[in-house]
Amino acid sequence: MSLSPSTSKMLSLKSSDGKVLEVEEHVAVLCETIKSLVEDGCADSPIPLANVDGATLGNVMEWCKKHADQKASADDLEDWDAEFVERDQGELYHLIMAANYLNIKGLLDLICQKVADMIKGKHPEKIREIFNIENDFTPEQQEQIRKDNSWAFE
Amino acid sequence: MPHRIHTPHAAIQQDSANSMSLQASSFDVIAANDDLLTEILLRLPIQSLFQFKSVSKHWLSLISDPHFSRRRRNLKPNAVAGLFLSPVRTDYYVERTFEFVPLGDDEFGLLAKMPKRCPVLLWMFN
Repeated sequence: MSLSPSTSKMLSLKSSDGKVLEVEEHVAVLCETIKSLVEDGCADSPIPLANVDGATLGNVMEWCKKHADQKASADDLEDWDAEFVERDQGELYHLIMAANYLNIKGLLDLICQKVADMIKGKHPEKIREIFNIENDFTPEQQEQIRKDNSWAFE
Repeated sequence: MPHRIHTPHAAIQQDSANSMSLQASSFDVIAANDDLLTEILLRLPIQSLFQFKSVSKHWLSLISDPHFSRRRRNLKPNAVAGLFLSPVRTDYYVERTFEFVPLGDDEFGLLAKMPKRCPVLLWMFN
């Protein structure tokens, strides 16, 4: 089966909130989950994506379209990606879950790096707040960890 | 290969309806998914990683896992692992103990924070 742009047909993708998106097959198959369906011949009807809402699906397919473009240079993609991840925490959350569900390694790597860049250098207390984590250390254990890793806290 | 999880659909719907509640509650879904959380932690500078050991027992165990260290080294194959520093030097003596300070390839600024210490001897490569 050829998946090159010239022969690419259209696939219908249906989001969790019922929106249907028409996407070129060579773009959609950047999602390994969809690629498996196409290769198994199960991609005829609108493909239901129960875990991705319409807005997020649009964003994901925008990324896939850019990365399926064989004319885009590596530098061009890097600049484009840097702009693509300039989003609020909510959108990044939806993108990371969608990239995981649709199994798009490049997009998952990109968003994970963005989240890492967002949280690096923050105080552990702020991290607990962002991720809604309870501090389950005793004060003594906490102090011991600080001691063992004192260089990092300077 | 990332593990696929099924996000509670209702949570997403609710979050979409109210972006403020999303900000407060969404990342805990990521924090509850070891595979996704690990992917994020792997991409942190080493200093943040060591600080984040004190976030919770769960984070400490993920970061301290030898498999995690191996994966991190593979992501940054040529990074310098760290330096041995002599902890204190006075006019009278040099302590004969050395402190190992891990470095990532983006943490050389850390050296500037160590005015009382003299970097010595050894570069450790991964």
